[in-house]
This record gives sequence, structure tokens and C-alpha cells, in this order.
Amino acid sequence: MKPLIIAEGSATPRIHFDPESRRLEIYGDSYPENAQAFFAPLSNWIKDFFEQLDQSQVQVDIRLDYFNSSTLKWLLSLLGQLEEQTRAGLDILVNWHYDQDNELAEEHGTEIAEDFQSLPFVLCPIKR
Amino acid sequence: MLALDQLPKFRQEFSEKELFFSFNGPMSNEFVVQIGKALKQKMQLNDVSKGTVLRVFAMVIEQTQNIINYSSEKHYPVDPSGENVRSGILCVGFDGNSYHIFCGNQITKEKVPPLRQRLELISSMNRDELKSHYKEVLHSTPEADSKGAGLGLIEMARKSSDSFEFNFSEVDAEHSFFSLKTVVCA
Repeated sequence: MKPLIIAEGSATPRIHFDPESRRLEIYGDSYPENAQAFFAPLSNWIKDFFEQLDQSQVQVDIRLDYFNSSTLKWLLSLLGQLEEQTRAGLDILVNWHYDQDNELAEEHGTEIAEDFQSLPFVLCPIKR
Repeated sequence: MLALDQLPKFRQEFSEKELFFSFNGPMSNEFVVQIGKALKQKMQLNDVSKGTVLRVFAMVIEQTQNIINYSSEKHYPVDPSGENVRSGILCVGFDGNSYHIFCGNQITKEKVPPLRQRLELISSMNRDELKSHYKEVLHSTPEADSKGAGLGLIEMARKSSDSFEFNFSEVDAEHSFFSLKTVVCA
């Protein structure tokens, strides 16, 4: 399986999904006009990834300074999948990175953690 | 057209209203992205805290994306990318304490009653009610809604420091003008 690497766009985040190290990284801002067109390939890759996965540890690193509602919808469906995989026995860790003075990202992280109680989801403030 | 000797007066009015940015006309998503970035940069130069910059940025993006999605003044670009281009107005002001973000666009009249109903519902809610309403809509709407799944207005109400204000004014027999204001405390 090949890694999925997408460079940062003007309104889309940098994507680095690596099947070898089993690390998925999403970094940047995310407010694409056509969210479906941007996220569909990511969802497909993740589906294949879990089907072919032969080890149990997966690390997901997300740092989104600003994202719009359609991005949040996609994120929630991703986290829902990750939570299911955790319940099925996989050892998944999601790190939610944000600048310590970015209250919006912190609030979103806190709310997501409330919604996915069975998923190891860690708030990681970045100090200046 | 504005007479050249009226420019100082025009500027004065702009300043008296404490506005520092305004754009009126067709907008595309890429254009909005660039405006957002310019505003971000301007505020960073003024040494505004990162949290405030991001809140204002989020409001500007969400309000202008509403224009691009819902304005009844559509333009059909020759551009092969087929980007959605629609008209509206964006103004941003600072009164010394808070940033005020104004957006407006024309809509067809039949859109007014349901929109007014939604806005009245949202603006009657307190913080906790908004949060649970947000989660309810978030988990109930289809996943791949590229228009933001109707969450934009709730999101803006949640991010606005004061309750947001809205207004509808008559344009002609078929159209009304929808105006929305949100506030971000510095």
C-alpha cells in the first residue's frame, strides 16, 4: 500500500498518511469549498488501510488551526471509525495539537473528547 | 460614479463608521481565502492576540462562504474550473473593544421565512442550548454536505461574543437583502 501525501493548499491541510509507520497526519487549515472532493480520497485510503492493517498500533496527529463545518463532519466520521477500531481491539492514539492561545481549536478538541469517550484522544497544547 | 472630490467625504464616512475593510461585488472561494489571509496578516501586524485573529478569520470565512453558497446574484465564470461566484458585501470594523463583521447578500423572497425562523431560533438560545443544538445537527445531517450541513449559522452564533444581529430589507418584488452581523471581542 502506498502512502497518501498531499501538499498544503490555500484552503486545505497537508496530508501525510504512512502505512509503514502507521501514522496519519493532518496539518494546516481546512475550509475547502468542495469538501467532498477533497475528503473522499482520504476516506478511501483509510478504508483500505484498515483492511490491510496487520499490526495493532496506529497514531493519528491532527493540527488544524481553523476548519469549517464540513471539515468537522468528516473528522467526526473519521473519529467514529477510529473509535470502532479501538473497540475491536486496535491500539489507536489520536493527538489533537493546537497552539495554546488558539481557544477555538482547544474548545473543539474538548468537545470531540466528550463525544468519543472510548477513543484515546489527547489534547496537546503547543507552547510558544 | 463617485465624484473624485467626494473621495475625502467617502473616506470620512468609512472612518466614522469605524470600518477598516469593505468589499462589495462578486466573490469566489479562492478570493475569500485571499481576503481572509490579508485580514489575518493585517491583524497580526497590529499585534492582536492569535485567538482573536482566528475568531475574526473564522467569522469572515463562514459569513463570506454563506454569500458564495446562498446569494441569489450568481455569476457564471468563463473560468474552466467552474468556481461558484456570487455577489455580496463584507465589512469589518473595530470600535476599540470588539471586531464587528458584517455580511449581506440578496436572496429570493421565498427563502426569507424559513431563514428568519432558523435565525430567530438560534438567537433565542443560550450557550448550552447552542452547543446541544450544534451537536444534534452535526450528527444528523448527511456526511458529505459540501455546503457546510446547515451548521454555519449555529457555528457563528457560538463564536460570536454577543448574540448576532440580522435584518431583511426589501429589494424588489422578488428579492430581499439579508444582512448579518457578528461580534468578536478583542
